Amino acid sequence: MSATTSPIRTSTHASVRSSAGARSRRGLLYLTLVLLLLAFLAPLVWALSGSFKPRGDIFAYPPKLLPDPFTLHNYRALIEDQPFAQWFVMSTVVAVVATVVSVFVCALAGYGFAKFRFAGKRLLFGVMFSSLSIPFAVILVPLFVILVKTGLGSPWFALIVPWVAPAFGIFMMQQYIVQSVPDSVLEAARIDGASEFGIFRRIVLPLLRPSLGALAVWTFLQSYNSFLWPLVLVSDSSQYTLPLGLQTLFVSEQRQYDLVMAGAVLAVLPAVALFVLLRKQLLEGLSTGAVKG
Amino acid sequence: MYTPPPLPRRTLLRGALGLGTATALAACGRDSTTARTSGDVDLALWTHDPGYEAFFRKGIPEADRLADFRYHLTVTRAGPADIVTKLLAQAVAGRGTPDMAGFEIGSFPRMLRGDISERLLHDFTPDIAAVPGLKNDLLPARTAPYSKDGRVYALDSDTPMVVYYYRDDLFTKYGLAKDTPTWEEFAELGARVHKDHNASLCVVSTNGSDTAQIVQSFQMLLYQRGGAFFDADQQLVLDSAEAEEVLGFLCKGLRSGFVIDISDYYGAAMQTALKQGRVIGLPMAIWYKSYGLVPNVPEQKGKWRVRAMPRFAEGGGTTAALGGTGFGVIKDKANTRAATDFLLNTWLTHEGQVRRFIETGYLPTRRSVFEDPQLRGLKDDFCGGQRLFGLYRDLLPDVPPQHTSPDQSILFDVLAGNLLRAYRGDVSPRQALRRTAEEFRDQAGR
Repeated sequence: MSATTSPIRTSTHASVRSSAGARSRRGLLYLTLVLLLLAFLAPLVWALSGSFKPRGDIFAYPPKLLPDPFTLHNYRALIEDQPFAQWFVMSTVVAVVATVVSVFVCALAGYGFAKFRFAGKRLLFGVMFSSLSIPFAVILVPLFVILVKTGLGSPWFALIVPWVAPAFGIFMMQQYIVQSVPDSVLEAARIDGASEFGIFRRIVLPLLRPSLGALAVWTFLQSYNSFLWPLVLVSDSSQYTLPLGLQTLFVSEQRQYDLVMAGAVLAVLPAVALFVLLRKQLLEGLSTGAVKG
Repeated sequence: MYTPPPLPRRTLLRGALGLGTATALAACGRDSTTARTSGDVDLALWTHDPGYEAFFRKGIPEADRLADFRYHLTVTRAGPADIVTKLLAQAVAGRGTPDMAGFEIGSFPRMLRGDISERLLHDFTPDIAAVPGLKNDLLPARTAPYSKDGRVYALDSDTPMVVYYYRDDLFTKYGLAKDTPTWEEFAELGARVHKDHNASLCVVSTNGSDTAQIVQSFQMLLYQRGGAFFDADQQLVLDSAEAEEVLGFLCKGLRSGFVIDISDYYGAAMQTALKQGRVIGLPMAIWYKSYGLVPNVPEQKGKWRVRAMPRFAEGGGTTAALGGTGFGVIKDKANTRAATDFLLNTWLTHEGQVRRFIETGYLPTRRSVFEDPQLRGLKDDFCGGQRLFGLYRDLLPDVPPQHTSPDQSILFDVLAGNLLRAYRGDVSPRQALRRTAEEFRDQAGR
């Protein structure tokens, strides 16, 4: 009797232990994730809270999470006393245009590298790929000089130029096209009489949607957060981008933390909106190649 | 893989035409460099501080009256280091440089590298010489940081003396003498205050992301003691007995609690320490009242006082200098003459320097202006109605010159790390300074 029940009992105990162990591991995992989430959210929450506090309360001790008194003065001062609206428009327009152009150019170039045979292709691709390892600071001055000497140094144009054909974007598109666009589909379209650009526009681009979303978010954030290039390029404060403009509130000895926090909260909105809009494509694009097909 | 057909000749020709047009456009649009001698002038000014912008804007009517120009001002604001980066990039591109720029003293040394200052900045020496008595009236201590080979490339905004700030109410409450003559006696007092009231009388910064701030704490006392970072020939003179004494003094103070380490002089950590009464005194430059105390602890208005720093028993002066911003004019531009006149007629006149102190809190750089009765009569509400100008005038002879080097940023990087090691007790002051000198010479190659 005992010989027959004992193993069953042991197995039940083991199962109970194993499920308890799994629960505690899961609990630990959730706890870790929650702690990480809090750690990542804390600066944002602090900025949001600080943006509604009077300047003297931002570093009050003991710290107060909820603003008391609650004030919109920082937002008002930022919008009324500083050219914040101009900085915001400049940043957003430049980032949107750069993103649209970059996504198109990268897709086109990536398509060329992935699906066409032409003289010097390997060399060109090698040069493009190796440029990934060059920090932007190295090409900053030469790029600026080239734009000025060719008469193309106007901020609206020049702010967009570095993001028009980023090597990372072209490489990403090339990889995605190699993996996801079959040659047979393209051949079939050519046999049906489609033009090369028509094939790109009607067949390749729709197939690239997930990776285009990921590239769009990446390009937008790169352009939107760019500091060094606008710093060198723009001298008219009204044409500053947000990172430049917000920094001017902080660089003097006065350190206007209240305005900076309100500005940071407003500045994050376009990026969040873009992420919400392209969330699905972004996740699909980022997971491409992560799962073996 | 698809092989495309070769490009048609017409397409190639169109491309070549486009390229040619772009090249032709490039030849257009260069700035004129014909010097303006009178009339309407739109000056472009770059600065990091809105206080300077306000000062210069208010100075336009006076400058219009004293010169043959009618001035208009376009101001661009950027970070102190960014102004130099931006200026150098624009100068290389040959377009977009301003007419005047404010160089924060920590960023100016980059302009001293090679012949940059000589090629880019207007030399004020002849202008100063042209005004009778001005050369002798200008404080050499404040032209030194912006000079090279005897030429003055920028005019300072301040004589940023270092003074001792203290909480008068708490000093009274804790029974602390307000006129302790030496740092050594003051340190003993500080150890007792720390033990009894958990308060400190001196501060060092340990802000890891801001090496200049870490260095400042040590720099103030080093220069007061008679030491220096560089001599007039830009040679490193840090590794000295004075430096070892000062660093040892700070390290000992940290152990006793006389000195407290704070991560940021201007931010949250200092504000908390001030509000909690953990810092009840500190040596700092005169501008710290406006940029450190008033914004951080406005509710402590009337409770603070200013006095001269205690002396070191072994020698040295009663003050040091910390900070400053030199305004320079870009040379060989159409507006170079106009900008020079503007600067001389706003920044350098007696009335301009008086107005500068009243509006910005920056001390005059001309010796004679320290005798101005209007300034001597001013009361400081934040400091309980103290008449501070008399103190500043008395300290004036002790303001030490501050010579810089193009490699100052290297020194600050290596010194900051070694100061922190010494503060923690990982190395002795002697070792910290020796290491700093070795690392600096190794990296700077001098």
